[in-house]
Amino acid sequence: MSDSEISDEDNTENFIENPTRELLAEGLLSLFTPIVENLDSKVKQTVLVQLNINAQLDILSSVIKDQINKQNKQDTSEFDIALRNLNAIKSKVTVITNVLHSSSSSKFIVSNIMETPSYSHLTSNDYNHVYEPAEDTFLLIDALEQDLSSIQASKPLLTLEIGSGSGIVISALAKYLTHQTHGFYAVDINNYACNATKRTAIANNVNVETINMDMLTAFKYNSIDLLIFNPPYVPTSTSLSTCEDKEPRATVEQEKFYDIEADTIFVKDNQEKMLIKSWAGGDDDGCQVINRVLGELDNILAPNGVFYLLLIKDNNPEKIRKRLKSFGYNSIQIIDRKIRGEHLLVLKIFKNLL
Amino acid sequence: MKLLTYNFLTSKCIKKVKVGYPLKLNIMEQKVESTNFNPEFIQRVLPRLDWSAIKIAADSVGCQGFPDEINLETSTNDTELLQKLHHLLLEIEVVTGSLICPETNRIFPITNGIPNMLLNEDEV
Ligand SMILES: C[S@@+](CC[C@H](N)C(=O)[O-])C[C@H]1O[C@@H](n2cnc3c(N)ncnc32)[C@H](O)[C@@H]1O
Repeated sequence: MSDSEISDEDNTENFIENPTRELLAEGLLSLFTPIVENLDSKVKQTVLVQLNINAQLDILSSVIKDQINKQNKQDTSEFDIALRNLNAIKSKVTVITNVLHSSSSSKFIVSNIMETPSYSHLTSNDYNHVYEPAEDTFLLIDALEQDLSSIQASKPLLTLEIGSGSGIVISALAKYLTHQTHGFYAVDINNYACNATKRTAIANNVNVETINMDMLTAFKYNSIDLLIFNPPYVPTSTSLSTCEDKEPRATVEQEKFYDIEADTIFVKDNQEKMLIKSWAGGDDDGCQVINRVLGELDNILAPNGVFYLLLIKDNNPEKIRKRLKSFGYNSIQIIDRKIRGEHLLVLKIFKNLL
Repeated sequence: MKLLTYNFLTSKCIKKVKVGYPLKLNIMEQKVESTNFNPEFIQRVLPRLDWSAIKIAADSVGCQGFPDEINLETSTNDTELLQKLHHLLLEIEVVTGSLICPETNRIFPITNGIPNMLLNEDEV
């Protein structure tokens, strides 16, 4: 075939092999990055607005309660005023909901360019059982993305996420690490989360082996090259238990009850217990689950293994880093972000100097 | 559950269990999904395989021709063996079945491809 006969198709193939494609992709990415960042901050603003609405709605509901009480006393003029207030707030909510809607849909388009895994297959019903991706989730993904070249260079054979929930963090990583199609693992103590993780992996066309397990208790020692964990990190003073754990008692008709003596919340429904387990970090600065992993780290990580751990400032990361140092691990904070009342951060933990 | 995963699972977490490895494997439903052969991945995974578990896995799915012992030095260049391992470890998905503790016979069910390795509080 002579040069002049090269068809469009052939040209396209050449283009795919062509190094200029890399350059072009880089250029495009640098074009998109400011847009994405801009959008990101807009979405954050809107989220703040949404929180504001929530607060307003709370006030509203207490106003309504007051009104109902007063109405019972037949005070109708005040009720009218409250009704007007209610309508005003309602229209505000509608406007802001619309804004939120358009901003999140445009973010969705852009995030597809950035290859955040899609998780639109998960519904609000799923989130009655599984931790819904939130700021902590996205910070962890951002941390991994930021560290991608060093992760690629270290060539992890087995990558495992503890507590994968919806599965978007491990799916994101499996998507980013394009040279590798196997060796991605997810464990979660919540069976529903395991199924969600599997569905997310399939929806994103990646292989993630999913195991329903408490931590890595049934995994062979020293196998994990790259470990990831967004743990239940919220400090909670009380412990948690299902009703089955205790003698049946009269109060069990309620969904939940609080036993002052034992300082324990008893929950009737196992799924609800699982949801609470997805965020409640217990006492000790919310480190009950975190400390379990740290204590087992020497058994979990393969030689030269690396661990990315998401924390909040309340967990006292300096204390955690000192503890890690005492058993021979280096750690650096690679990213942090302040959101609402939470100051989130990600530690990168490793034995040898990289 | 892929059979590579089977290589990494133990029942050592059960109270009084000494080794808990290799688990017995009972397959009720399986499917085969072909994926691209990446020899480097298999080469790198080789030293982490426990050959006693690999033999059990191969027997359970009727894959033949695996040696009784593995010689790491010669195996890395044995393309035929690497390809066989690729098929056994990465292409066969156990959809339904169970893993069984070799010492206590505690059953860990596999449903929808997900092994359930959870234990009750009184078992740990
Ligand atoms: C904060 S959520 C994170 C979910 C998901 N990785 C994300 O970033 O959106 C914590 C997850 O850890 C799981 N989990 C809690 N305790 C666990 C344990 N002991 N073993 C395994 N998973 C656990 C919870 O079920 C939950 O899915």
